[in-house]
This record gives sequence, structure tokens and C-alpha cells, in this order.
Amino acid sequence: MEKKKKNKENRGILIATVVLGVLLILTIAFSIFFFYKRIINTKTLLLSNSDREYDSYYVLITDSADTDFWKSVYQGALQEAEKHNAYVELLGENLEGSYSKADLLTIAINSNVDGIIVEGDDDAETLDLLLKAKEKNIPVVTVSDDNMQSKRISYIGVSSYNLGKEYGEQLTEYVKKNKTETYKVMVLMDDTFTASSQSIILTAINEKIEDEDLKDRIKLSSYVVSSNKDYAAEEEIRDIFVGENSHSGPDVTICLSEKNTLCVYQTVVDYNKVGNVEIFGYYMSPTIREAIDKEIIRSTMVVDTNQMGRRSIEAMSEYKESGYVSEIYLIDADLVNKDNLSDLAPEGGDQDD
Amino acid sequence: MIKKISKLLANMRIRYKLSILVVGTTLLILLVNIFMYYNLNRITRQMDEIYEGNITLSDLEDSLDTVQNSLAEYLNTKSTDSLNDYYLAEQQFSAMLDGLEKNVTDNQQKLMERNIYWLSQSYLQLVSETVDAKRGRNVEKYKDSFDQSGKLYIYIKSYIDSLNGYSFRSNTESYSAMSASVGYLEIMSTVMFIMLAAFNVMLVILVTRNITRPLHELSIAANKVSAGELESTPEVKVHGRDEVGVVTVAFNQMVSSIPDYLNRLRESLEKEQQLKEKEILMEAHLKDAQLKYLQAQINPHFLFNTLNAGSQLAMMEHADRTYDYVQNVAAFFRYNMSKNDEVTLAQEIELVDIYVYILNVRFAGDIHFTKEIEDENLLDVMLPGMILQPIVENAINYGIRDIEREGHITLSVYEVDGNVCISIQDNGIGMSQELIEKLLSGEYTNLSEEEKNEEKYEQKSGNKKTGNGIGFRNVIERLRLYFDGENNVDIISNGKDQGTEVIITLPYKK
Repeated sequence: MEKKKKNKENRGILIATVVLGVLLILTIAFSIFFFYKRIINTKTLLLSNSDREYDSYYVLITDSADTDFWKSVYQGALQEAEKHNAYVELLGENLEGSYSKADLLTIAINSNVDGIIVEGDDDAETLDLLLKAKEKNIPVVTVSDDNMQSKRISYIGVSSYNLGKEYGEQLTEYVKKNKTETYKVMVLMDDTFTASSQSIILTAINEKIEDEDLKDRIKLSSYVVSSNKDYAAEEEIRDIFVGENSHSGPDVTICLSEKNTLCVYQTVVDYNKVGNVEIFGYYMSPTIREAIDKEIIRSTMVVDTNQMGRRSIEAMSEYKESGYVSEIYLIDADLVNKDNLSDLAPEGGDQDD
Repeated sequence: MIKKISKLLANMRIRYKLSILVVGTTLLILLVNIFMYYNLNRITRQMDEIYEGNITLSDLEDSLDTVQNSLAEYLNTKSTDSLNDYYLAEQQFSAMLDGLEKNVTDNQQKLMERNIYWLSQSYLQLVSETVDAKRGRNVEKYKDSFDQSGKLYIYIKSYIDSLNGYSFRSNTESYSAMSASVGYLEIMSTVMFIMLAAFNVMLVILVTRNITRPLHELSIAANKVSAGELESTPEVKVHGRDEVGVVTVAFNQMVSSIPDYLNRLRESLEKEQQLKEKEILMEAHLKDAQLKYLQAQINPHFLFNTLNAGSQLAMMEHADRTYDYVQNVAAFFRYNMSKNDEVTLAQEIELVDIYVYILNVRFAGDIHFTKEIEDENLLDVMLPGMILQPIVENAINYGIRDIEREGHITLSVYEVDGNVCISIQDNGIGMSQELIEKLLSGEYTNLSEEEKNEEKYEQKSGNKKTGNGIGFRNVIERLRLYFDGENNVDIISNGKDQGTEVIITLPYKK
């Protein structure tokens, strides 16, 4: 009896030892496994191991890199570049502090890049730098806005005339539907717009108004919002609606940039002017989508920004391979209002959002 | 596999077992320690590596500053020293640039490095142009290129700062991951050490138990044996062929052989005892017989001497028959008086002859005694003395004394199956079967006188002639003792007046 008990005890100890031993081995194995996994994770973090090398290096330069519009353009370019074994950098993103387009262009020219994709403008300095790039045999593609004198290889963007015509149509339709005698219409432009495109848009809108014989009822004016100075746009737009001259504020605002659209929308909401001011916007972002849904913004022009990005890279590659490329490539702009909002994919033009 | 190992362990010497235990557990602890230390060391080294990049970048920035400053100083002073400084700085800066990434990758850090590299190349180009212009006193050119290089200088610095900040951010991530790893390692090692300690304790308990258990069992068995419970002590189980195992095997052998020895000892003691008893009994019976005759011999001795004197007297007087008679009587007594432990059958028969002669003289030839001896050689057989005479005496006293007819006693000696048979037959009153049995079994001696009389066919008459049976019993016992317990006496009687035959069977050794 005692012996049996003892045997049992011994067996218990043996089993306990074996179990402990197995557990120990398992613990060590697991520890080693997880530890190395951790170390490898850390190393990945440390080295960002996805070092893929590319043949070409293009830079995308714009003054308003933080808008959804340009982010979307960049995404399109990045995706397309991948196909051509090229890498696009939204220049300035990594740099601390903000740099002007001229600064960025200088950096790009001196950084031995394979191509510059830039939002064109009228600035003489920009033109100078673009010519310098040409000197250095760096191909330049202008996007969204053109700079004809810059000897850029190609322009990719919306036709300003078509855009103006579209806005004009919207405007006249709206005016015809309503009984109010006269409408003060303000076209808000960015100073990123070149003078020519500004005038083309205005001309196109005017043409439309004339065609519809509404010249008496529509008082068209335009305002160029400066985009270079930080926060200036918002202040300027606010002034239009609630400043000293607010009594003469517009009944209809046509915004030609994403930033302006958002600023107007915010001002209208903040100063309780919903219903008093009709907004025709530009571009599609979640905020704009929401505003259209709430009928604060009547309609917006949606540009296929992704396509814009893709096209610019295509132009670069084409030029690199064949030495020349079509000088202009127009991107369609579509009208979006509450009626066809649901047709548009939720992402709209801003895939990176 | 496990059985093999456990067998190997069980057969291992205790000293090796203990050595393996100590070395094994120590090694285990050492290994875990080394593992921990190695990993900790690795992490520490990695942490060091993390910030190495930042240090290099700072150096690069310093070097850039030196270039720019020495350039500015040269432009200001146009001194040879500052030019030398500039060249030195420029060389150092170029050398440092070579360590930067030059290819296009999607790694932001490397991309920044690439841009720094190319910007710096442009910068150095501009700077050297500036220096050349200064030397050529082309004021406008050197001012312009100095301005440009100043711009680039700022961009490069900005890039370096950004890169520094960028890597610092990612380093911070790495650092927190690392310190998490260290924390993890701490927990891991604590758990591991606790488990290791528990495992070691278990292992030690197991092995020491393995060693002490057989010892314990052995000590229990030894205690039992020492308490005298030899029979109930089971065999101690042998667990292995280590030292304890060897002792256990020896112990088991010892325990199993002890009863053997005891048994043998007991047997020999018993044998000795039996031998002694036999001797004592033999002597006792002989003494008994001798005592009886000694009692009788007190007179016979005297009688013997007187008889001798009588015989000589008879011879002198020429009374031959008297002489013979007295001679025979004297011979009879002489035989009795002599020491007769072992005699030949011939001597015994001679005594019977003498006895019958004396009785015939006494009772005027009433007894017809005949001897039938098959082979004279048979007479050489040895037997204890005083065997036949008492039987013949019995045959005369109880068998034929009181019969009316002529009494016959026949003594026959013959050989049957290698045995010598001595038959003493009478034609007297015979014996009942019960009496025969009682006589043979020795019960008769214990009966009372009345009973003895009842048993006999004869009725009590005037003269008292009851036997005591001791004589016959004594004969049987002495024969039995002499021939090692064989029953060699048989009595045959066919009933009343049919006579009695006593047959003694002796082994015949030729």
C-alpha cells in the first residue's frame, strides 16, 4: 500500500518534471521566436526595408501640396510612375518648414532630377527657373495650369475655356430658374491661375451669359485670392462676405479652386449665410461632398485629378523614350450636384482620402 | 526510447548521476543566461546604431558649415589661410558626401540623402565657381554665384535638418520598439528563470529520490531481517546496476541463502539427536535386561561358583550325569553373566540347548526340543544376545507347561529372500489374536495382572506362573533397535491348543 503510494508520488514528480521541462522548452522556443520577430519588426522600422530602386526620379511641385486636389494628383502620378520604374516625389513634403515654388524648383534643378512636374503660373521667377531647367535638360510638365513660355514639354490640365463655359451654364441655369432681378456673381480665383487662364475662364462665362441674354441680371466680378501667404485666403474670403463691403457681397460665388471652395463654404456656414449665397465649387473632397448633400454648395466641377497625375508621368516617360510628346493634354471636368452625387464613387477624385 | 534512457540512468553510477545532475542544471542555467545576455547585448548595440546616423548627419552639417564659412572668409579677406581652410573643408565635405545614397529609392530617408548629395554637388560646383571668379576678380560673377551657393547652402542645411528630424522620428519609433523588446526580454527572462528553477528543483528531487528510494527500501528490508522476520521479508527490488543495486543484489542473495543454512543446520542437529536417542534407548533396554539378570546373577554368581564346585565333586565321584547337568547349569549362568551385546546365532542356539537340557532334567524330559537348521552358515548371523532364550522360555512356560499331551518345541533356521528366519514353534495352548497384537504392540506390558490372566486361555491354577511380558517386549525392542527400527518379530497362532510360532527375521549379510 505504502509502496504503491510512493510509486504514485514518484510518478507524479516525474510527470511534473517532464511537463515542466516541456513547458520550459516551449517557453524558450516561444520567447526566441517572438523576440526575433520583434527584433525583425524593429529592424524593418529602422531601415524601412522596402528599398526599391528606380530608374527615374521625378518631382511634383505645387504651392498647395496639402490640398486633396494635389494629393490626388500625386497619388495618380505615383501609381503611374511605378509602372515606368520611376519614382515621383511631392517635393517639399519631407522638408521641415515651407518652401515656395521657386525654392522647390531651385532644389529640384540642383538635385539632378529626371523630370519636373509643376503647377504652372505667371511668375517670372518660375519662368526663369523653368528655363534654367530646360538649360539643364530637365524636362518639365505643367499640370493644372500652364506656362506657355516655359518651354515645357507638355501641359496636362482642364481646358480653362471649357471650365468657364461649364460654370457659365450653371450660372445662367440657376439665374433663369430664379425670379430675383439681379445677381451679384463673384468668380474667386487663385493667384496660382495664370492670367491667361483667368481671363479665358471669365470670357467663357461672359460668353455664356451673353448667349443666354442675361447680361442685365448678372453682375459678374472676379477676385483673385492670394494663395502664397499663409492663411491669407481665408481672411480675404471672409472679408468679402462679412467685411466692410459685405453689404455688396455676392449672391453667387464661383470658386475655381478647392481651397477657395472650402473657405467660402466655411465662411457661409460660420456667418449664417446659408441660402443667401449660392456656391459653385471646384473639386470634390469629403467636406465638399457633404456640403453638396446639404445643398450649401450647389454644384462642383470635378476634375479627374488621378488621371492628371497619371498623364503627367506618361508624358514624362513618353518624352524620355521618344524625345517628344504631345504639347497639351486636356482632362475632362465633370459637373457634380446633388442629383448625380450618388453616381460618383464615394472616393470621388480624392483617392487618398 | 524513454525506457532506454531510464534504464541507462538506473544503471549509471550514483557519482555519475550526481555529476550529470549538477553539470546539467548548471549548463542549463548558463545557457539561458548566455542567451539573455547575448540578446540584451544585441539590443544595446542596435540602440547605439540607431543614433549613429544622426551623428554622421551632424558631422556632415558641421562640415558644410565649415565650407560655407571658409568660403565667406575667403571672399571677405582673400587670405591664403582661408583658401587653404576652404580647400580642406571642401575635401572633407566631398569625402563625407561619398557615404550618402546616390540612387533613387522610395525610402524617404535615402531619397533625402540622394537629394542632399546632388544638391551638395551643385553647391560645390557653384562654390568652386565662386572661388574661381574671386580669383579672377570677376566681382559680379562671384557675387551672383555666392548668392546662389548661399541659397543652396540653406536648402542643404534644411534637407540635413529635415533628414535628421525624420530619422530622429523613426529612431524614436525604433527606440520605443527596442525598449519594448527589452521589457519583453525582462519578462521573458523572469518567466524563464522561474521555470528553470522549478524544473531544476524537480530534477534534483527526482534524481535524489531515484538514488535514495532503493536505499530506503533496502534499509527497511534490513531492519526487518534484523528484527528476525526473515521469512516475511520480500526480495528487495533492484532498480539498477548502480552501487545501491549491487548492494541490493548481495543483500537479496544473503537473505535467500540464510534459511537454507538454517535448514541444513537443523537437519544435522536432528540427525545427531536421533542418533543419540537411539543410543540411549539401546543402552537403556540393554541395561534393563542386564539389570534383570544381574538381579538374578547375584545368586547365579554364587550358584555358578558353587555349581562349579558341585560339578567337580560330581566328577570326582564319577557321577557323570550329575556332572553334565551341573556343567550345563554353570554354562547357562556363565552365558548370562558374560557381556553379550552382540552374539552369533550359533551362540544363541547353544544357550537355548543348554536351557532346554536343564529344563528337561528338571521336568524329566517333558520337553521335546528339535532343531532344524537349513544351513550352518546361517548361524554366523549376528544378533543381540538373550533373544532366543526368553522366547523359548515363554514357549515352555506359557505354551506347553500345562498341556496334557507331549510338548514339542521346534527351532528352525532357514533363509527366505536373503533373510535369516528363526522360527520357534510349540504345540501348546496357543494365543488369541488380540493377545498377539497386544504383545507385538507392547500394550500387554501395561495391562493389570487380572487382565493379563483373562487374556490367557489357561485358567488360574495353583501355581503362579504369570509372565510379565517384559521379557518378550524387551526382545522385540532390542531387535528393533539393533536393526534400525525394522520389525522383525512375528507371532503366529491358529487359536486355542493350536500352538504358537514366533518368527524372527534377520537380515542376512553374507
